[in-house]
Amino acid sequence: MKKTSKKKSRPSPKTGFPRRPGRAILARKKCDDLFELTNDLIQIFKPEGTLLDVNPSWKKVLDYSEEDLTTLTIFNIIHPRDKQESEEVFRAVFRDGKPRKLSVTLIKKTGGEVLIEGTVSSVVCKGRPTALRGIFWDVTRHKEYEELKDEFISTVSHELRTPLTVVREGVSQMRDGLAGEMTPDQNALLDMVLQNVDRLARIIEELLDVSKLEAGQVRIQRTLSNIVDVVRGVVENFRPVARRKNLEIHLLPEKEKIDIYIDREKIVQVLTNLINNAFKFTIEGHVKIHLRELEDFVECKVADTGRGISKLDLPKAFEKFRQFAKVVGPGEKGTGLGLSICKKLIQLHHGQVTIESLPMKGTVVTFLLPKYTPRELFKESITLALNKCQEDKSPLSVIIFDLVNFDVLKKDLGEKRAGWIVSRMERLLNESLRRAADVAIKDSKAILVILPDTKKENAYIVLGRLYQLLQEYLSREQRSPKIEIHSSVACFPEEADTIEKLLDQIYD
Amino acid sequence: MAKKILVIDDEPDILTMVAKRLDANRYTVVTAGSGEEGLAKAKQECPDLVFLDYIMPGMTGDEVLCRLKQDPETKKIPVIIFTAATKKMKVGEFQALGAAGCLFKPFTSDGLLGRIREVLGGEA
Repeated sequence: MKKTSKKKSRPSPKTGFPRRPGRAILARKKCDDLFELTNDLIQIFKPEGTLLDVNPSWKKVLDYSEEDLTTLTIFNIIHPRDKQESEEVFRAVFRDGKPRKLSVTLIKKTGGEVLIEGTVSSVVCKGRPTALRGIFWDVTRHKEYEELKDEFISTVSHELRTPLTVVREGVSQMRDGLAGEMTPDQNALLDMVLQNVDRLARIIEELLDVSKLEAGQVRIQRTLSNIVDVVRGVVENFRPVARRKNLEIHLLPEKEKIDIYIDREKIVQVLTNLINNAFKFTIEGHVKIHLRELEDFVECKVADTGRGISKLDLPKAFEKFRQFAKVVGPGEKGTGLGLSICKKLIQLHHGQVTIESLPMKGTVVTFLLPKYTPRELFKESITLALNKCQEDKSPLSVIIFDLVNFDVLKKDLGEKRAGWIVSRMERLLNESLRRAADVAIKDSKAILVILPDTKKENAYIVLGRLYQLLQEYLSREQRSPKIEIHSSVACFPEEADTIEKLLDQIYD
Repeated sequence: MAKKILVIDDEPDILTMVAKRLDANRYTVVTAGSGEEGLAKAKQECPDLVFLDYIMPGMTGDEVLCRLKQDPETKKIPVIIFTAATKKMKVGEFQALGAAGCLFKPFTSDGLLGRIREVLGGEA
């Protein structure tokens, strides 16, 4: 047998003091300290629920004593509505050893609820899983803050806009002479008040936009759009401004048709903001908008010949309340929020935005929007709906209507007409969906219907109704060749427990 | 004959302002300070158009709208939702409830009068 006497601690011959403990002992002590002192809730338990050990924070937060623990199992503490999900997670971690995230409500001894989030991993002994370890933190307070913030946003919007409406309309009526005639001096003052009321209203709108974006309340809904047309629409809106300021505005698309899945409304907001900025800071010259298609992206550049931003300030351009080109004196004033909103809206599209600028030469803002395949598009929409359903622990069903002979149709009717039929069908479906959360979205030849909180049997009832509706429409259309639709249903979590499986099932 | 417009809003100052503006543009104005009063006046006065505040204490705008649309006497009167709540996304929802249009606060006089003309057509 090997001698292990070296491990015994003898005084150091150099110093005469006891030797410092070995690394292994220190590491062990660190672990013990962490277990004892951390604010996280740590519990070690068997997959069937028996509690083996919990740390002091765990006992403190949940109010259970050492004695209670001998009679309790983990499932006595987990809220009944979370029981099934937790059981599944525990089993899965124990089976494959991969740590998994878990968010559940625990019940205190006193009956109160504690919302926790964290990771469950397996405790391995001699290469085999023997127990499970959960490390959680209390997010109850955090959730409360989030709810408060949401409430704050909607209250503020209502409470600020109402008095602002009265102020605006009152001044406006005076300006229009409804309360008696005004002198030119009085009118000039009232104009100034109106301009500033409008600016205040813009700041409130944009602040709310920022709060909503930061709170993750803004979702995008992509549709296939010709981005050249979208940009052209915005550019046309700016023609009067350009004339008034004696500036030129040019749209320079590389080609006339660039189809991409975007949230039209949000991209219009981004462009309006960027072009508005360009005009605000340009006194002479032009504003040019370039558009081109790259391999995986569509690139859009808004370039002006304006005042520019210094090298020092440039990195801060997308931060909130940053206004670098501000001038003293009259003129249009910004809110300092536009660019940060643009950046967030582009990020929602999983795109990128960059800014280049030379003082006194001009500024170029470039944004890249990724091109999506139909599968990616559907995946994004389903993911959004699924996240919501997982939060509420409700099922989700999806239906897909596929135009089997789309290629024949395209050849026969032309791409535009064939595409129009799919759009028309998408609209029909959206009109007949009864709840706000249900949506139908299309790619070039298929339409996906997402039904949150819908079980498989109910999904089939909806499918029957929608299928009949589409058949009625198609029989009215009386196309030759006849349009053939194929439909399928997939349900989460009954038939597919991951998004990829769900997609595989509807694409089969 | 001048068109009659019923304005329902729980903020008295807003009622005063809107009434003044509409009056100056030769519309006949009837005002109501709550949803309940609004429903009663809609039946009594048979207005050509209703401006309805969405967020009100007591009976809320959507409830008033539903009741107006359910009642055979008032269901044909076009309703414009008048709201300080969040913009954009809501437009479709209002239309789904049966509103003829919506106007977001703070509004401009052009916005207010334009919306009325869109629904009623032509001049007052």
